[in-house]
Amino acid sequence: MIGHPRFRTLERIADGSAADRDRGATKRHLASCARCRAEVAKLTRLSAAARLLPVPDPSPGGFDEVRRRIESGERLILPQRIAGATPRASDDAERAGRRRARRALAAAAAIVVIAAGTVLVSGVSRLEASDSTLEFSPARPSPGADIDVHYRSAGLMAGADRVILRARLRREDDTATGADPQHVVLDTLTRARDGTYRGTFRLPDGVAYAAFAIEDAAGERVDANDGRLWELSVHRPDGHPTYHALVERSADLRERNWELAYEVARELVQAYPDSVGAWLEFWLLEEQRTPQSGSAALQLRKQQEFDRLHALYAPRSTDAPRTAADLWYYAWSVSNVPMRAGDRAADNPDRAGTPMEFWRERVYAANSTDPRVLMVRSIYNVIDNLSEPGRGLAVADSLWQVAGPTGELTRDADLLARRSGNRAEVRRWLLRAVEADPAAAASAGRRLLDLGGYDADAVALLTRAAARLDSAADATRPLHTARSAHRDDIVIRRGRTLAELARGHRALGDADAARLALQEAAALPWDAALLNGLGNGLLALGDTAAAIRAFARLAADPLRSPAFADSVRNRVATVEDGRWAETVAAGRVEMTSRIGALADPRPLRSRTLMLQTADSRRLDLGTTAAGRFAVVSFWSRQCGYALNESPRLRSLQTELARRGIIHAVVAHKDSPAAVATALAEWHAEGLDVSYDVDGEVARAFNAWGTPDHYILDPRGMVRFRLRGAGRIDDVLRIITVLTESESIR
Amino acid sequence: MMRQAMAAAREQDWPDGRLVQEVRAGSMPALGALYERHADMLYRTAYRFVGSREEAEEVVQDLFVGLRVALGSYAEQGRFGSWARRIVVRLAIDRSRRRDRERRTADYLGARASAAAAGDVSDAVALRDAIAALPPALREVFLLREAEGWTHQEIAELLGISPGTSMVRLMRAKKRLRRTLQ
Repeated sequence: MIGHPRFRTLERIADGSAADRDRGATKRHLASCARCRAEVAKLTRLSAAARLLPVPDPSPGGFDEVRRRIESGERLILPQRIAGATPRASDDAERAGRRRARRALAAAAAIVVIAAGTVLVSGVSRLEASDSTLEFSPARPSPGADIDVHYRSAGLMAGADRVILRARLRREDDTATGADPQHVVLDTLTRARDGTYRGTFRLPDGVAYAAFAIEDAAGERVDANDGRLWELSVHRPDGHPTYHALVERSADLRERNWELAYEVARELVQAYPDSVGAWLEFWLLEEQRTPQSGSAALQLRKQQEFDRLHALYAPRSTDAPRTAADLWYYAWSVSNVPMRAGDRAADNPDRAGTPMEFWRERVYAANSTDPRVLMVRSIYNVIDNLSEPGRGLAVADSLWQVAGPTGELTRDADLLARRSGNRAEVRRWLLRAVEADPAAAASAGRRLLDLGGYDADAVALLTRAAARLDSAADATRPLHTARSAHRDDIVIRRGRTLAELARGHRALGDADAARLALQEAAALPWDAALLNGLGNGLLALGDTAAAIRAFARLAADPLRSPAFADSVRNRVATVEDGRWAETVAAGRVEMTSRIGALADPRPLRSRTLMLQTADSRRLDLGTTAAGRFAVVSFWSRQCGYALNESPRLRSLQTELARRGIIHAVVAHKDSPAAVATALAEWHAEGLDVSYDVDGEVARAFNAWGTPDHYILDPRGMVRFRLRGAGRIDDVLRIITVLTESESIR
Repeated sequence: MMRQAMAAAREQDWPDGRLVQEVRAGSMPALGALYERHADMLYRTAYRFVGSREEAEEVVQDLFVGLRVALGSYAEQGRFGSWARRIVVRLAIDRSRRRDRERRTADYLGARASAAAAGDVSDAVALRDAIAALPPALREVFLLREAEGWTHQEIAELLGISPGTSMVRLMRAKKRLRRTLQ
């Protein structure tokens, strides 16, 4: 052998996979070469070390969680390509995986909003106006304009001399900076002689877009345009919406109606074709509606548009730093070069000279404090320094000094802090996360409890979180929600925080404080998510009587199987049969009354409920559902919320079919093949979707957003309307109670 | 009662194949017995790919929540444990690939993530950092081959690549690790 063997050959010797002809020659070389022997030894040690990497022990009770998920009705479909006996991932499947990832992130926004309890499904009146009218003059205002308001009520506000105009205001940079829009009272409208309400307000500085609802002085009667809200966008002097108005409107609609959001995004790129931010917004929504079969063509279009923008902006060095940041992001989204945390450009020759690196350099050269520029720098800080988290945290500190409290920066720093294993750093950045966003206090408190050693900090944060829920009530109230309903939501969230707080007190050894917190939580309204933890906490404190009440209230949930009720009861084995049954019955009454409060009976607007099945047959829903309870769920493959819920929706459909209850999942006019593809990608094959070809069924229900569930009684009356994601459990609870008892009218 | 059933389900009396049949028929105790028998091994495999206890536990839970339906396509050729491990690897790889890009894109477009999104605190050992820093394609092959002991043929089937590509990726992964850990 002349010279040293190649690395590849040495690696295969160490791996034991070298070909015979290489093995002989290389072993002869190794016999006389200490350097190569050392290399093989290092490679062998590397393999051994990889096998011996420490793995922390799993938490106890993992199967309890599996059982809980199964018993709560979750039915998870493992991807076909891995569930088979001989799994094989084709290139197509890999591409599908990437598409799922993109769609999942689009849906992530939905999930986050739901978690915050602020999701609503409503919007503009393009599909159909409600019976009330709210008019603005001028209808196309310039920034800061004075606006005359004219509201005519369809009867909801009867008897009120004054009504409140409430608005969600989106300022020009809200979307770019990740700021929350504001919910404010803009004006009090006074009733005129003709019975209409009038008022005037001035658009606050910087507002580009606003959505509105009308309510009475108590905030209990709310006219949200039958869920659609009313809208106002700031316009340019030539009568076209401003760039920021379109961006903010699209972002607002993304949380309510993705089909309309897409139309706005399309208008955005047509009106502002040279704006990189406009294209990013558009592609997010375009990807959502493109079936897998079109993904290659879509990627090509994205690439072509990127090439045009790159050629347009690359020669110019005077553009806004944000343009460079947006182009970096765009380059990343079309790049085929793998890049992940810890992968430095210097280590990856594939990345050298790519547009991604070009725009990275431009971003760094700008040295700007623009939020998106700082976000790119924060992302690169993680990528470059994940292997040296101490250095990364120092950079994060310097970015914090420049950027001030921002949630994105604290999340990146949190990743570095966890990687460093330095618990004090984890704590420091968790506290900074709360400084950036006080709403993060509860989750930071939970993290500190899990971290251990900072229980006092955790208790302080959780106490603050519980108090904040009380004080910030109206500022976080969605436009379409009445004050009392919002208070109920807050009470439930407060209960969950109290349960965590009790855990903190227990960790500090303060059993009395823990008991007080749990007893306060136990006095709150029925909430399945809270009761299990509550029962366990009370049991741990030795308060068996209160624990029995909590478990019995949980066992009253009709979604729980009898086996689950038995297992819950077994945790408090001392309870007598009679007492247990009595407590469960009381829980059932409580749960039923909570469901009764959700009732919103109203007639259908029309009896025409003709649908088209996937195989083009006609289905008369009115006739099919006559004399029975039925559920109608509006769904769209272009809606991230709806797609995300598809597997659970399929489980609901299966369960209702088992009980002999009609469940129509209704989509607007769409291609059944494209719907089938979307369902497969979201692991919801088999969901039976029907099509509302002319929009007549949506008009009959006055439905607008997705997912949106309606429960029809045997007389064809809409008894319940459950809007937005996360309501499937409630649909099943309601149907169970309705079909088991006549207590809800 | 559940614990007693699980304790009774000793491997020699209740082989995996029999438990699988019971799970197909809807038996929760049988599912619990399979879990008790395999969850620890599956968790350790998942952990190597996702690097967080919380996420590794979720991966294993996902498998068992979806197991009854998935068993419809389980041909019972070979051992249940191997089959389940392949699924867990695939789930863990999917999750690991998804996590980084989702978080970053959501951040970038102003879709604010929950501050509770982060997982637990892990020990920062140099090798784990270096493995985590590998590009996904190289990292997956390295872990499958070195930590899990799969053959290149098995890796190729799982990832949809050729065995030769698997060997090349392993070599590149080790080359990078050697450079990083010098």
